[in-house]
Amino acid sequence: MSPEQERALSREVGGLRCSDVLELLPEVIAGELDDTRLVQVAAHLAGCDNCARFGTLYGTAIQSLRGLRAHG
Amino acid sequence: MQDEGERLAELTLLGRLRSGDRAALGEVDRRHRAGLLAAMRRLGGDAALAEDAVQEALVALWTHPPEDRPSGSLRAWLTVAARHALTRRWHHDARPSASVEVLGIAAGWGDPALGARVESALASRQCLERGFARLSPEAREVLVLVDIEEVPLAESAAAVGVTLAALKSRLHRARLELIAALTREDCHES
Repeated sequence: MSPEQERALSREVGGLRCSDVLELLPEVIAGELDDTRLVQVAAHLAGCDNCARFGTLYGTAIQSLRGLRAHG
Repeated sequence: MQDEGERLAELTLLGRLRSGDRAALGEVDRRHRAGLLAAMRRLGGDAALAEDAVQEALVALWTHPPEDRPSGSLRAWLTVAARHALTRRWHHDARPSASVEVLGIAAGWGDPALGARVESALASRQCLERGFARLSPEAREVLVLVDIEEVPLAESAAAVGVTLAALKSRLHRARLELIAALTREDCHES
């Protein structure tokens, strides 16, 4: 990981760093976060294109995997 | 160093384990899991591997409790068993696990061009299958159970033989590894 990437992941938006959001993605997708955390994540995603884009991609990947079941 | 009272208590516990008393295993778990996890983390530096190793040691104690009086304490026996499990996993993995941050970068976090490439790959079943096939057996196993077959997390953890926390960690890594694999696919929708 380059120093620039490390700095980018440490950026704080809405009280959370990008690296925190990256860790929390499974709980976000599964709806397992408590309200306080959820508000923080929503604020972060609203102000961070990188995490918003990647969160969408992560969710799409799960949906696509589920789609494989139908194909046997 | 154990005193005679502790030694006798452990011998009784071992006798209960040999006779298949599940409550005895629960007692061992309560007494030793936290300490063993700390020891394995120190050795391995990775929470998921430590969880797996300790779980394997407890399963070994349950399925094959020591027949003879162990020369050291039960904790020592469990530490050695967990250490063996950790070593096997190191060799199996061949390399230490990358951090979630490193996996996230490999999966295209912060790089819209890579993200677009993954999006195309996800839209093509063939590309997705190709990326999936490149994953390690452990990553494929957890994705098949949880994301494809939608087996509940607790049941998946039991099937794989790891704790719920270790399963969740493995699942997140496996998804990131899949996305990273798809950044190397050159796909058009099919």
